[in-house]
Amino acid sequence: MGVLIVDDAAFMRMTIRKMLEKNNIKVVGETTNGKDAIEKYKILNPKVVTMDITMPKLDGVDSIKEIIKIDPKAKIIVCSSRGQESLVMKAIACGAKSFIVKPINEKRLIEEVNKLL
Amino acid sequence: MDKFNIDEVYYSMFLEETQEQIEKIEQDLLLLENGQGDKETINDIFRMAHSIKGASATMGFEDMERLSHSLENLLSKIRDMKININVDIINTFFKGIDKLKYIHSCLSKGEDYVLDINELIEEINSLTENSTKTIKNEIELNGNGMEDEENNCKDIENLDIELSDYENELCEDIDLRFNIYKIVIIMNEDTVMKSVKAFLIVNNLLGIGDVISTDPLNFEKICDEDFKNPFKIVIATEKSYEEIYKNINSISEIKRIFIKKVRKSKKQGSTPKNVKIISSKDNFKRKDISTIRIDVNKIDKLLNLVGEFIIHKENLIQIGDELKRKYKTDPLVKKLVSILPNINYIGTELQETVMSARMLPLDSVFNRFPRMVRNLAQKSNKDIDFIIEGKETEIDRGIIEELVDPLTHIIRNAVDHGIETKEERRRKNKEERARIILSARHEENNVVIEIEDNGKGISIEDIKKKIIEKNLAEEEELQALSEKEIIQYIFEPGFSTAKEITDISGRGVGLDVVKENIGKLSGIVEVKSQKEKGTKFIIKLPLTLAIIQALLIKEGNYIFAIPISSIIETIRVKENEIKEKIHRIGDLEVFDWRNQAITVISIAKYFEIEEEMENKKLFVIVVGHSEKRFAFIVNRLLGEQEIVIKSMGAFIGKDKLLGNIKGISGVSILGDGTFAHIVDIASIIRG
Repeated sequence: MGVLIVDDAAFMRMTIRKMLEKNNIKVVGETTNGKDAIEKYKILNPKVVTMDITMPKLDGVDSIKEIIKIDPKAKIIVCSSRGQESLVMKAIACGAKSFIVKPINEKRLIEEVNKLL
Repeated sequence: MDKFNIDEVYYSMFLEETQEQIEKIEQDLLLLENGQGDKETINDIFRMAHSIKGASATMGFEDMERLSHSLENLLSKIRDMKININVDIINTFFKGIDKLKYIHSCLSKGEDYVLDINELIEEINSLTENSTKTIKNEIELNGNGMEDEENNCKDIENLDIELSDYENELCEDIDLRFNIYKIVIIMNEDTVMKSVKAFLIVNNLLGIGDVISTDPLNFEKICDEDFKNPFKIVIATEKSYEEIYKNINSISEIKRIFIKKVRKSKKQGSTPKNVKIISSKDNFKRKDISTIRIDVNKIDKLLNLVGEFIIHKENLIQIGDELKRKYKTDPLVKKLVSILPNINYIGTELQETVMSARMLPLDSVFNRFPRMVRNLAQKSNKDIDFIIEGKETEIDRGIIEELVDPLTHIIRNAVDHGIETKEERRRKNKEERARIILSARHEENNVVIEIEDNGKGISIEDIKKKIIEKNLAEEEELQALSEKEIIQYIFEPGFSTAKEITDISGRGVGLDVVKENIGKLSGIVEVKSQKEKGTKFIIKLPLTLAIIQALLIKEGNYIFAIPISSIIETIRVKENEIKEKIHRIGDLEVFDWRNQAITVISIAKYFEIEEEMENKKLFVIVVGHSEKRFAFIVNRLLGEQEIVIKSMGAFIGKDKLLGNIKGISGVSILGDGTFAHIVDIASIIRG
C-alpha cells in the first residue's frame, strides 16, 4: 500500500522513486501510460498515485477520470510542467487531489505525498 | 410594538421617510466635507439622525435605532463645538450611513438581514469621547495565523475582514440557512502555478459549500508574477470554521488562512445580541421571484454548444444554397430550402438569448467609482461632481471583469491630472466645482463608455515636448501631423505627461496598458481633448467576445478571419491596376486610398506564407485601428461569416506551449472542420 508512479519518461519515474524511497515511502508500482495505470490501480490498490499529465495512449486527465470512476476516493497527484495550467485545472476538476510542477523538488513531492498518505 | 404586525401603510411610510432622510444626510455630509456646509447643515443632519432614531425605535428596528443614536450623540458634540469636524469623523459617518442604507434596502425588499454593527458603534462612540483617537486599520493581516486551534475563533473574530459592496450584493440572494464566510488565504511566495493552487482551493471548497465570489475574480488566467497574494473567497455553507479550515489546510504551500463569519445561518441556535434577524412579512414578497441562480459554467457550456450549432448552421445553409442551384425542381430540395430560414432564425435567437444570459449591467463596475473619486478628490484638495449615466447598460460578463482596471486608470487620471485644484480653477475663472461624467450606452452592436471631465485638457505642446524628449518621433515628423494624430501618442508605451509622479496615478503604468487591455477585448479607445475645456475618453466595446462577424480570406493553405468591425472597405485591384495603385517608397509600400497614401501590409508576407504566383488580381482590405488606416493585401476572399472565437490564451505567451505568436488573437473552427486564424489587427499594426 504505497505509491504508484505513472510517467512515460523513465528518467522521471526513476527520480520520483528515488526521492520517495529516500524518505521511506514505499513505491508499489510504475507504469508508462494512462491506460495501464487504470489496470495497475485496480490490482495494486495504491494509496497515492503520481500522474504525469501528458502521456501516450491515454493521457493524464482521461486516466484520472477513469480511476476516480473506479475509486472516488483515489488520491492522485498531477505532475505537470509550467505552462500547463489549464490542463492541471482540468485534472483537478476531474478529481486530482493536488499537483506538483516539474522540475520536481524533493521537499515539495514528499510534502504532497505525506499530506495524502 | 410587535414588529410582525405592523400596519403596512405605516411600514411603507416609514421606509419612504427614512430613505429621504438617509439620502439627505449623505448629501449634507458631502457638503460638509467640501467645506460648503455650515452650522445649519450640522443641525439638519442632527435632526434627521434624531428622527430616524425615533422612527426606527417605534418600528422595533433595534440596529437602526442604536446606530442612529450613536451618530446623533456624535453630532450633538459637533454641534456644541466640543469636537471639530474632520476627515476621520466624516469617513466614519459615511460608514454609518452605508450600514443604515443597507438595513433600509433589506427592509424595503422585505428581506432578512444580518449585520454586525457593534464595532462601528464603538468606533463612533470612541470619536464622540475622544476625537483625536485614531481609527483602527481596516484589514489587519499581520495577526496570528491559525496554528493554535484553541484560539482560532477568537483570533479570527478580531480580524476585520469585511465584505465589499459588490460581495454584499451577491450575498443578499443567498438562502438564510447558510453561514457566509469571508476567507483570506496567503500562499507561500514561491508557490508555482498560483492560479492552479487557487483553483484547487476553490474546487475543494465547492465540496462543502457554494463559492459566491473570489478576489481576484478570474484567477484562473492570472500568471504567477501577477497573482495578487492574498487570495480572497466568499463562501456560503452550513459548515463550521473548523471544517473550512481543515478543508483548506489539506492543501500544501499555504502560509496563512483567515476566516471570518460575515453572516450567521438563521438555523443556528440562539442569536447573539449584536445580530438581529427580522422576518419578512408574508405580504412583502421578494422582488426577484422569477430569477434563479445558475452556475456560470453551465451557461458557458450552453454558449459553446450554441457556437458549434452556429458553425454547422452556416455550413448547412451553404449546402442548401448549392443544392438549390443544382436541383431547383427537386421536391426534397424545395422542402429543405423552405426549412432553412427557420433553422437560421432559431439559431440567431438561440445565440442572442444565451448571450443575454451572460450579460450583466455595468453598475457592478461603475458603482466602485463614486467612492474612489471622492477619496482621491479629498486627498488632492479638489471639488468634483461625479456623475454616472447609463449604468444599467448590459455587457458580456467576461468583458465586465476586464473593465475595472482600464476604467480605474482613466478615472484616476482624470481626477489627478485632468481636474485642476480649486485655486487653479478660480484663477482661470472656471467653476470651482469640477465635473467628471462616466456614461455608458448601446450603439448598434457596441457598448460605448465615455469618461469626460471639464479639467484643463491635454496640452498639445506638452505632448510634443515629451515625444521629442522620449525620442518617440522627430520634430520634423511632428510638424506633418495633425493635433488629432499627436494626441494619440499618449497611448504609446513609455509615455506620460504628468510632470511628477504622485501616489494617485502615474506609477509607471501608462495609457498604453489601457489601450492594450481594451484591445484584448476587441475594443478601441479614443481620446478627444480641448485645451482648458476638458478631456473625453471614448471606449467602444463589442457586446460579446464569443461570436463575431468576420471576413474569411485564404493565403496559401491557410484561412484567416478579419473581424468585420475593423474593416472599412474592401477593394478589388486588377492586374493592370496593381502598379498604378500600389507604390513603393523606399522600404515601404503604400496604397492610394481616397487621396491618402496608407501603409500596405501583405498578409502572406507577414505570416511568411509562400505567395501564389498567378497574381491576376488582388484584394485590398482597408482596416482601421483608432485613427490609423492600413491596407491589407490578400489573394483570395472566401466571404463573410459568423465565427465562434476559441481563445488560445492558455497556449500563447512566454513559457506557454506555442510560445509568442504575433498577429493571431485566437482561432475558429469552420463548419467543414478547418481552422481559421483570427487576425489580431492591433498587434499587426504595431508591427
